[in-house]
Amino acid sequence: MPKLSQLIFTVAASFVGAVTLQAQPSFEGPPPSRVVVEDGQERRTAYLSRLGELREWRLAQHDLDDPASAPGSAEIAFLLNRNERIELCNRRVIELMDDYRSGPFGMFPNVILAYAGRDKLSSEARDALRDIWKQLQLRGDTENHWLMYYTSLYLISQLYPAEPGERWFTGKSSEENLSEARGWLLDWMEITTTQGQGEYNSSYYYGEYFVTMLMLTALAEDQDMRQRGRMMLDWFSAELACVTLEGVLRGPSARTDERAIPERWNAPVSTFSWLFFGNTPPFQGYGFGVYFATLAEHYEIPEVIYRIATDRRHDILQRDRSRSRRIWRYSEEHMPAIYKTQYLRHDYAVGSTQGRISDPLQSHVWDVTWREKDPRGKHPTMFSLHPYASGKVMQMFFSVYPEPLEESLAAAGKPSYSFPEKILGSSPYEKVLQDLDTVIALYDIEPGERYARINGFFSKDLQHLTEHESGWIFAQGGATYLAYRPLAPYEWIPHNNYRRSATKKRTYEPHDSGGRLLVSPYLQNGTIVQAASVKEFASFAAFQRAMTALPLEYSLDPVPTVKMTTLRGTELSFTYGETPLVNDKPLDYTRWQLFAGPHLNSELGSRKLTITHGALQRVLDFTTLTITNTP
Amino acid sequence: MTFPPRRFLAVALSALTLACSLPAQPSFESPPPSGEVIEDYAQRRAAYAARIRETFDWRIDRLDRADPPIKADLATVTMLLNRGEQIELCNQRVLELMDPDVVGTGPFWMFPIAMVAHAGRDQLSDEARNSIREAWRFKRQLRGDTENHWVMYYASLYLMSELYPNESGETWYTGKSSDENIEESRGWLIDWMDLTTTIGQGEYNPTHYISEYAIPMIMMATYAQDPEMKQRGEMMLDWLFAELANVTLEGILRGPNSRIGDTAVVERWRASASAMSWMLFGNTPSQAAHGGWPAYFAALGLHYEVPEVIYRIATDRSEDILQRDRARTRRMWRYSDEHMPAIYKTQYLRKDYAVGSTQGAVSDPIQSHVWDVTWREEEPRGKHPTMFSLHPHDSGKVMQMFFAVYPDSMTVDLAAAGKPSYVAPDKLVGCSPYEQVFQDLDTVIALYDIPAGTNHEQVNGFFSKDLRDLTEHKSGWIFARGGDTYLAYRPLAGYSWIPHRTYRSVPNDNGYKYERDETGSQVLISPHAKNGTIVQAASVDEFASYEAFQKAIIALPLEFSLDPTPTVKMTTLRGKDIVVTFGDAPIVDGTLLDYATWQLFAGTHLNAEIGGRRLTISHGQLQRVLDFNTLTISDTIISGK
Repeated sequence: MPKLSQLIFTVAASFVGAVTLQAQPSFEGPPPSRVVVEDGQERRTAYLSRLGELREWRLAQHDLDDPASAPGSAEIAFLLNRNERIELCNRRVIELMDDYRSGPFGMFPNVILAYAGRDKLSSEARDALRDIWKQLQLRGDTENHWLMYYTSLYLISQLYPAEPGERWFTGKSSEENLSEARGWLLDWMEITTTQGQGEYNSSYYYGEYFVTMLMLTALAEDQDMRQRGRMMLDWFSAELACVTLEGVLRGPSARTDERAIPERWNAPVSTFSWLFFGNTPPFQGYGFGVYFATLAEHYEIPEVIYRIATDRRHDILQRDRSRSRRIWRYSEEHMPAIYKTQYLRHDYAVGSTQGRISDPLQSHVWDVTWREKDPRGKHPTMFSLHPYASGKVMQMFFSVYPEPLEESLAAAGKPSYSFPEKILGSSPYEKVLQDLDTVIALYDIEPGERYARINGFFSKDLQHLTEHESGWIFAQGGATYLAYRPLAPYEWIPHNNYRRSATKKRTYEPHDSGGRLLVSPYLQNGTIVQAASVKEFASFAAFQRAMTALPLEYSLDPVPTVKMTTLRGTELSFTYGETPLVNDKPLDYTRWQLFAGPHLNSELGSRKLTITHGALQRVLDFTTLTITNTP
Repeated sequence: MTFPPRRFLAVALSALTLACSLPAQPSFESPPPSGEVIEDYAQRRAAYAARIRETFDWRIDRLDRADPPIKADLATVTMLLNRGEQIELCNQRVLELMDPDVVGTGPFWMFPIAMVAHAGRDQLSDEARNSIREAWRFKRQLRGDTENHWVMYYASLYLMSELYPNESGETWYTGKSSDENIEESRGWLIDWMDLTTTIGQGEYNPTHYISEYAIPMIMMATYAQDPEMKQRGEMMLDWLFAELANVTLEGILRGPNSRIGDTAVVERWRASASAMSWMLFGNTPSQAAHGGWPAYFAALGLHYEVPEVIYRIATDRSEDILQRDRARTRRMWRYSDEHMPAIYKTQYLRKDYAVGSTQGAVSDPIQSHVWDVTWREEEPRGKHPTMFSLHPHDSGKVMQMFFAVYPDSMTVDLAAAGKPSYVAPDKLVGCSPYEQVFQDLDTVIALYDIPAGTNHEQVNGFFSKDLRDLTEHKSGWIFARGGDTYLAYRPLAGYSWIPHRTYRSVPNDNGYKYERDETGSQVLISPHAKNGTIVQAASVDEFASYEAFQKAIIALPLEFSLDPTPTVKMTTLRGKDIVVTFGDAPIVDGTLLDYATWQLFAGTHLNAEIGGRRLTISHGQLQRVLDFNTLTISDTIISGK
């Protein structure tokens, strides 16, 4: 991690150009209409129009006539693609390469520029781009880092074929680089299409996957790699479509952050929903979407995926598998399975994993989120967690020295890790069961763990919050009724957001969000949440009556256990550390497939994803590198 | 054909008359395209969109600039509606054309108005939309008598009935309800697709009719609400364009052709198929006014994306193509035990030239073109890059095999229907029951055994004005050079030369009318009933000199006789031993050629089993499979190729 501060700085630097100087149309305009565009040509036109907006706005942030203007790599690529201001591009490429920082976040923009400028940049600028490949490049330590690293190495070695090892930081020839990179990329695709991603449903990192796969699609000469790129784009966009509600990512997330956890829309992934589906405003400055925009004409969202995202006539229930981040120590398993349940309806979504450590810092295990007409500034979510922090757990996942790890986290954009009031992260002491729109989260925290408490998030945007004598807390979010049952006593504290300090670099400061945290300071604990649409009940009172009438038994000692009938009539019996019973049948996770649900289906180990919406079907088969479309 | 549908021929003519004269048309008048393969997907797609845009711009622009002024045709109206421009003009044109006194009939009237009805469903005025709907009530629509007529007819009826669902029989000219119309149309369209994907098209490789298939299919792909019909439309477009790509050289369709015209048979580029190649592949100049009908494809063109594998088949020719494919004849109503006998097509395309043929049979009674050798010309416009021979056959009986109308006036009406040469002895278009053809790679042997009393007892061989170094060698071979291709033509009986005269359309109030002009090309007339032609082609770069080519040809073992039936025994330039006798199965290297084993497509790029409903399209590592059994399109990268 500490080594990665260099990498992180590169990321931050790459977005310096995204400072808002002028109005950003879709970011600031009214939310999109969400009418499904039926006509394929109109869909494509709308996609290209959004792309045009992004490019124009990004370029408009710079006075390109000013000799000191400093557009970033993406803007330079836009200009090169348009064959405009080539002298400015030459200057900026040389400046950017002078200031080049090692690692994947520097590598992939370099590759984009190298290809965009191969026939246009001056030899001096092209040499500057080429020269950085003689410097050491850090590979990073996450799935997305390696993907960017190897995609970049693959494409740059393709661009400069038949060069000896002395010309590359790797000490290997172009062909050896190509072979190593190809091997790693194929291996990653193999794992992803057989066991799933480690960085599943990431609110920030979708961009890194989309950009690299688009680079392969657009720039790889090998048809096989191009097809793989295209198929992986479909794979990820299909998953994104399936776990968003009106373009906003829902449910569990391998990696998210303090901002996107409550304000679900406020994450770079929203730019991709905006660009692909046009169903939510984009992220401020568009985030990683700016790099995607350098090559975006090379991809077209298949109709079936577009419709999964936008044409929601039925509820979605997916039971899917992923895997944890790689575990290096203190575990018998390298990448244990993550079992995701996601239930999306017209008004709300409920999503969870089974509860375990997935990513040591940034996981989000479960939530109920609701639809807001305009999601900007809203905190449409409810969940609880055990605020867990542990040097040992970090050592399970990271290979760097433990001493400075926690201290460096704030500088690395993870300010709340060691705070007791945090709302981000997973815990080994949390077990979760979800059935449709009911979630039971049980906690059995070892004595002596850093924080002996449960934090429940209650949004500033909840209406009619009622602490009922029955023990249920009722509320309404958007057009969704919510019932939250803490299984142990609690108190309320204000919820704080973390904002970057205006005065002190790489630090964050807390700000009262208007929401509250339910803090329940008990080791043996639990939360039950039930959601329902407002239109299902005659009144809020009717919903409350229905909830309080549900059969419910629970105890916390010796371990937390709940037995209840859900609002949907399912009988659940869930004891911490034991297999849950659903209508008296054990829930057997080992039978879960990679994807199983109305829209996405894939057998574990099959390398084959079937994407379905109504009569439309698209099959991605990595065994034969085949894309098959059937109506 | 043509005879009862005079009225809808008038509709077709009036629509195409608009496609004359007018402002500069870049793709038609500029130098030929570079022929460079566009490797980049986004650039390819942008180039395709730019060609579509040119078609839009040119047709819309000429409304203001034409002298004398012209009125918008329905392709232009559709384009304007798609752009959301000049909606009042669109309303006005629709109302003019839906005036009960001028409403047309037949598929050429139906499909443009169905297209406008869909494009304008949310934009045209109520009055204009109602006028369209009303016309579909009162005006009986002729169905025509060709494969393309019926496809256009039923695609139009299907889409109009989908646009106006749940309406009763009184509101449709058919007397059937919307649902009944849909059911009938759907049934016919699926039957046609079934036939096409199992035993092939009757109107295979047509120079002018490709757009009549492409337009209804893109209409289905764009407007059909039923996802299955939409997918069928998309798949048929791929099917048609894959075949077009595969039998073109630099965008120009090569022989054989089920239907062709007197001009296109010699000036190969001058055909609607070239406008489609330009639009889809950008590898040849477009036609004047973008070919007329293809403009209707352009009006919806952005709803289709040319798959890379098809684009590359058309443009990326790193290897020779050899296809042995099957099609079928036009339907026979009389004098035949078979309804649609098989047509066996051989097509061999190389960098410099293409050789293509069928086995020689009556396929379409009037417009078939059985075989040719055509060569590449850097600038194809105005060139006659082709060599072939034929028996100029015409026969009332043969026409009665295929047409359902009275025989008395048929041949007389042909000129007015755009087929002026049918009865002319010097004609270059048509097939004959007395011609039998065998092709092996770039060698063609055509044998003729014409019964006495047949119209006409002669064989016509076409010799282009663009041939160079034509040499009537004492060996009996006629040598020539066309482009970068050496050609050797061996007439098997005596001959003389006459000038080639083309047909020039002149203004006429009732159908087409023609005058004839000499072109500079020649026709070899061999007035012998038992006859034959051998043609061998080769690339210039295969030989050290023209003389070396001639020596190689003369040195080939060759024996032939004409009595009692024509027979040839020879070794080809490619070393194949061939024995062909009129009426018998050809023998190649001692083995009988068994056409019965031929598949629907078998060759370098296209493969489909007879009856399979499944076409595999390949180029290098790219593969697309169209499977009509499952309505599936599959794109695969073949590793290791």
